[in-house]
Amino acid sequence: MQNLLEVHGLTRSYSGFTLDHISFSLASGSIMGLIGDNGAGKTTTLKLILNLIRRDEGEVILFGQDNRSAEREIKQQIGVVFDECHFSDLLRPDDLDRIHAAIYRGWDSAYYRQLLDRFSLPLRGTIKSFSRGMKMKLSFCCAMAHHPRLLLLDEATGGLDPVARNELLDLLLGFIQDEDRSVLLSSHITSDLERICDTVGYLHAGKMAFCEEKDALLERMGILHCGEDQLSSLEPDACLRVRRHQFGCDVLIDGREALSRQHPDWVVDRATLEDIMVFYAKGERR
Amino acid sequence: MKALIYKDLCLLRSYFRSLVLMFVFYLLIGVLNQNSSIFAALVGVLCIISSITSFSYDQFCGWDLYCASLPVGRRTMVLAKYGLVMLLTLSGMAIMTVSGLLLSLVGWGGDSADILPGALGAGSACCLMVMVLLPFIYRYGVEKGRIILMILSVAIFSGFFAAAEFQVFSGFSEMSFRMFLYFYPLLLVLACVVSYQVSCRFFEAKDL
Repeated sequence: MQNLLEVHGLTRSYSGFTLDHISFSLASGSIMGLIGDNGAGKTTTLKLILNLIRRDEGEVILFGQDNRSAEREIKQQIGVVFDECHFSDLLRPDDLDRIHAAIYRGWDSAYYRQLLDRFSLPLRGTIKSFSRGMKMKLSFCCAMAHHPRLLLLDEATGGLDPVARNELLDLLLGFIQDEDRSVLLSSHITSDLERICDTVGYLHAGKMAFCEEKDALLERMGILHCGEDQLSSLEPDACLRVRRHQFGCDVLIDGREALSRQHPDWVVDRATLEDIMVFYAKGERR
Repeated sequence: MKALIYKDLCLLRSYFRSLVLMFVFYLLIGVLNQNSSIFAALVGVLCIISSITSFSYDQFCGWDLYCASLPVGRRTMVLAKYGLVMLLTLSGMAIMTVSGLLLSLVGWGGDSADILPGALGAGSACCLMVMVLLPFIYRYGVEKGRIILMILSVAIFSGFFAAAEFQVFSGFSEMSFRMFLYFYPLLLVLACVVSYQVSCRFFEAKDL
């Protein structure tokens, strides 16, 4: 299974924030979720991959090629959906059809219209009359109609109602049926990522806190509800983050099953991605 | 590049509809004054104002960010804008020439010998102004670009007014003016090339 995307030591500094030596890879046929709180660097990472901003250090390899030296060729195989629709309200979907058909070699007008029909988007109406959800669906149509190998989604489902989000996630699951394709999506809606992602990377304050297979991660992680005395008896390696409150402690642990076997009387819950995010953001190291 | 020019023309669709009304207005003025040189203003609107308007539309919806994610390239994005300016300028000159000829044919438009030189002069002057303006827009954005346009306009008109007032050009012979006119197209081409290269440099360095 080859990697469609490889990121090595990607770094970009701003005043007050640094995306610090991010590394990860995305195998073909998989969906990777990039989670993180606001300002963690998710959008910066995606922009660096697309060469929309200059990197200070590191490299980005897309389809086996450097993303800068073969930029136009690489982008023929990428579809992008941003958090907002960047099409002018004065345009119509059929205008976008003609525009993209002249840009992408593999643009499939028939498939584009099929996608518009699927989402009940009118071909001739101006985008001005579209709701936010309709605009995002239109963005998806434009991103997918040239049959890309890689989809990059930057918080593309934020602000959508649950029905619309579900529809788009189903579309992504259909897209990934081809083993030669991959999806990288950034989001802070962790329930979406838990539903469809194979791999999850967590960005916190510009650093990659972890990047692992989602199912294995959720299987390993747990939340221990305990008092200070139990916390002190816990192995240091197992304790990732602690949140103290007036009734005791909540501890994010690594090795839920092993701990439950060791201490059957301890209360250990499964951790969700949201829990993991909150613990990393708000918890303390022991 | 064709796709991006097509996109800009689609955006200017509704704007062009209001230009039709403007054209009718200019036509009436031309008929009343028995002079078609008023259409030079239309060339200015098409070339300068429409070009800036296309940048405004792009900025409002964040089009540059999306377009840079397409397999287009930033130099092509800049080239498309210059292509649009040329297209609008040539369209304005064609409208001015045809309108002037039509008015002249029916006896309402003044001397027909002045029509083509007038159209060429108006088009090339507006084009030169836009060539100066575009790098500023790429560097500082549309809003500051409008301010620079106003400064440029005031500077140019003040310059011509002062030149006329102080008879600056009285010392130049007809041959000097002819030489200037012969070399003017070369100056225009040079301005286009320099302007394009500077705009590309600014836009390629920009973080989107």
